[in-house]
Formats: sequence, C-alpha cells, structure tokens
Amino acid sequence: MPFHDPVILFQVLHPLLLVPGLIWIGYRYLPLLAGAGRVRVYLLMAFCAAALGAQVGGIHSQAYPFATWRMYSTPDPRGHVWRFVAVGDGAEEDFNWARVAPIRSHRAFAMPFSVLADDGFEQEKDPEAAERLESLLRALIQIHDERTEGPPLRHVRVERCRLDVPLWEEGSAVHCEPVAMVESRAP
Amino acid sequence: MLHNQAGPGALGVLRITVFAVWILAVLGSLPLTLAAGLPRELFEAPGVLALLPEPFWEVFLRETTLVAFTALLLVALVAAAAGAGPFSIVGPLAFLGVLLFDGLQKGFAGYFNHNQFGLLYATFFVAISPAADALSLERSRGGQSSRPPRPPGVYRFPLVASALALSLTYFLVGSSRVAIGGWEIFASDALPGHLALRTMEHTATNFRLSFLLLAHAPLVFLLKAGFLVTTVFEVLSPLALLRRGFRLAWLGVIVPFHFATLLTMNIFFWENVVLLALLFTDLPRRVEEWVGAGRRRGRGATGSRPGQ
Repeated sequence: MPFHDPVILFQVLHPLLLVPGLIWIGYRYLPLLAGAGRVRVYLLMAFCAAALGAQVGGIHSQAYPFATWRMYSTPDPRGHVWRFVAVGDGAEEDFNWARVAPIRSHRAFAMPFSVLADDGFEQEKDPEAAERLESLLRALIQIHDERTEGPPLRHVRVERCRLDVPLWEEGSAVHCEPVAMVESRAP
Repeated sequence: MLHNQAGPGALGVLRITVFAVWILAVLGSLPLTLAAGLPRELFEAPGVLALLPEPFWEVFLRETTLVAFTALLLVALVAAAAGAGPFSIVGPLAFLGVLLFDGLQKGFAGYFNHNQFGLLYATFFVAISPAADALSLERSRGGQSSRPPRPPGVYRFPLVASALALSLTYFLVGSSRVAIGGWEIFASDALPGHLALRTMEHTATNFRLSFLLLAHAPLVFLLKAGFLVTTVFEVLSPLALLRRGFRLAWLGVIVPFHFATLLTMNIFFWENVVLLALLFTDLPRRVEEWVGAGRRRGRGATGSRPGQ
C-alpha cells in the first residue's frame, strides 16, 4: 500500500499537518496584523506555499532560496566518511579546508563522489570521473599551497574511514583505508 | 500571542540584529575573492540564482568583481542596519546582496547546507517592511516626520512572519524524520551512527564529545530519548506561535538542542539561536521600551537643565 512508502508518506504528511496548522495560525494572527497590507500577507502565503512545495518536491538546491529539509531522517546512515590527509614535509595533518574557502569541507566533492557512486575513486567504475576528481584535488592542493606560508604539500591522501557502531561494544574502532593519493605538482 | 505589543522600535531591533548578523557572516568569510581562484566547475548556482545567465557568473566570479561586490555588500548591510537612506530601497538591495552572498557560499559548498535559511527569510520580511521607522538614522534625521502614523500591524508583520518561517524549518525537519525514518530511526542505532559520522569528519570545531558518550550504553539511551523528544518538539514547532506555555517549553528544548549539536556533531546554527531569542520572546519589545525610557529620561534631564 502506498501509504507505507516513506516517500508517499513524506509527501502526504506535510500538507496534511501543515495546511490546517497554517490556516489556524492565520486565523489567530490576522487581526493582530491588520494594516500590514495585502501584498505582504500574500507574499507570506506564497512563501509558505513555496516552502511546502520545495519540501514535498524534494528538489534540494534547485529550490533555493527554499530547500528540502530531511537531514538526519534516514534510519540507515552511510557507514563511512572521507578523510583528506595533507602530507607536507614529513608531517601529516587533516587538510585545512579554511585555506580553500569558500569551500568549507570535503563535502564540496559530493558531486564528483556521486558520479563515482558510493565507493568513489574506484576507477574501473568511471575512469573519467576519477580523473576529474583527481584534477580538482590537484587544483585545490595548489591553491592551498599558494595561500599557506611554509613548505608546500607533497600530496593529499584520501582515506575512507568507517566506525563500528555501537561503539560501546568491546573491540569497536575506527578503520581507515587509503583509497587515493593525489600528488602535488609543486617542485 | 507573539509580538502583540510590538511597535516600530521592536522591528528596529530585529532589523539591526538581522543585518548585524549578516555583517558578521560576511566578515567571517573574507576575502570573498578566494572564490575567484577556485576551479570554476566546483561552482553550481543554486535554485533561483541559476536563472542568472552564465556570462553573469563568469564576470561575478572574477577577483575584481568580488572585491567590488564585497565593498557594496558591506555598505548596503551597514546602511540597512543603521536604517540609513530610504529603507524601501536600501532594505531590498541589502536582501538581494545577502541572497547573492549566501548563494555564492552554497554554490561552492557542493553539499547544500541549511544554515542561514532562517536568517535569510527574516531578512526578506524585514526588507519588505518599514523597518527603519525607529532606531534608525532615517528617523533621527526626521525623514518620516510628515508621514501619518502607520498601523501597528505593519510593524508586527515581519516579527510574526519571521517567527512563522523559522518554526516552519523546524517543523519540516521533524516531520520528515517521522515520515522517512519512522519509529526505526529512534529505536535503531541510527542516531549513534549519525553522531559518529559527523564527529569523525574534520571540522573547524572538532568536538569529540560523541565518542565519549557513545562508549556508554546508558548514555546512548539518553541521547536517543533526547532525539525523540527534540523531534516531537520540532513537529509541534508552529504551536509555539500560539501558546505561551508551549513556547517556553519549546525554547527549553530547541535552544539546548542547538548547543548539543555543536558539541556532539560539530554543527551549530548560531544564527537560529539569535533569532529564537528575538522572535520567540518579548526581547524586541523590552529593548524598545528600554530605549524609549532612556530617551524620555534624556529629554527630561535636558529639559530640567536647559542651559546645558
């Protein structure tokens, strides 16, 4: 039955709960807002409709300045994160994304990663995408070096890290495996 | 009811705060020219900004354009915060500026983050209102003196509309979780999984509290219980506009929730915390009264000592 489908439920639940709620709030608040002007009230109604439409449509960034709000709703979170290890002159540390602002984290690579499917970097799946990803990373290493005083990075190692959950069980740990290494072009 | 006593001063407090938060956000992102050096293919204009033609972005993402944009944006934000000029022009211009700024940030983020949406919506509702009728340069110059007084509803509108918009964002998150995750998301190890993954990611704050908590089964149970309670309050968020008692309980859950996500997931919507304090309490009206009382005292003191 479709109502057992989370997607259908997602699309039904919001209008079902929200529309009567908004009508009730509007009924209570309209006297308070008397004199605000019809245009403003219509704009507020359009705003609510657009927010609801973006949510039900599930179109994420395409709906900007609206969005789909479904963070932390999956009961089965992805089991790994990507770690970018910057290897400089003998030292290793997490890649400093502040140096490549306005990119804020490795999530900027969500799009190239999605091209490569869940496992990312597995070149047999899509060599062209893997090459593109490496080329982007190389460009970021160069920008990182340009914006950093001190010795340039030698390379960036990309690791896929998995954490055993539940953590409270004995023997659970973080496991990281290198999946790619992008060399700097610096001399 | 929320803001049923609010006047132009309360709206002025919201205007100053909203634009001041944007000024901080822009200053924290300087120099925006860094965007010019990034691979162009990592930028994807989001949503409505994608309607702007490609040549626009080619020009906009140049270093010189970004320098000019930064300067103009800061001038517009300071003018809007100060209530300078005709606000009916300055306000919408400042809003368009922050829309472009926020779109630039989100366009390069790859992952579409949700911070600053509440602030963006509040800015919109302030920008389309006469928000510079008090606590503003425009007012202090006597720019509005010949105008008849406006109805109070026009000043309450942006406060109420912003509160509604912010409550909607919480509602949409909570109801999605119920619709998609169902009971399983609370009963399973989904929350420990989310906490662990977010803690493993390298971030600016790098709090590791989750790893300590997740090592103890009783604490994990409490975290899951907190997750359920927070979700219930998120779903009920619009009720915070209607019932004062519920509003206080809601704030008592949602505000600590934001600090908890900072410590356990390295995610902090500090802009929302500021807005919660302004939009779901009497704070703007109290500031309005406090400023009004201060002015009356000032006038009284001046009147009693005319020679000074």
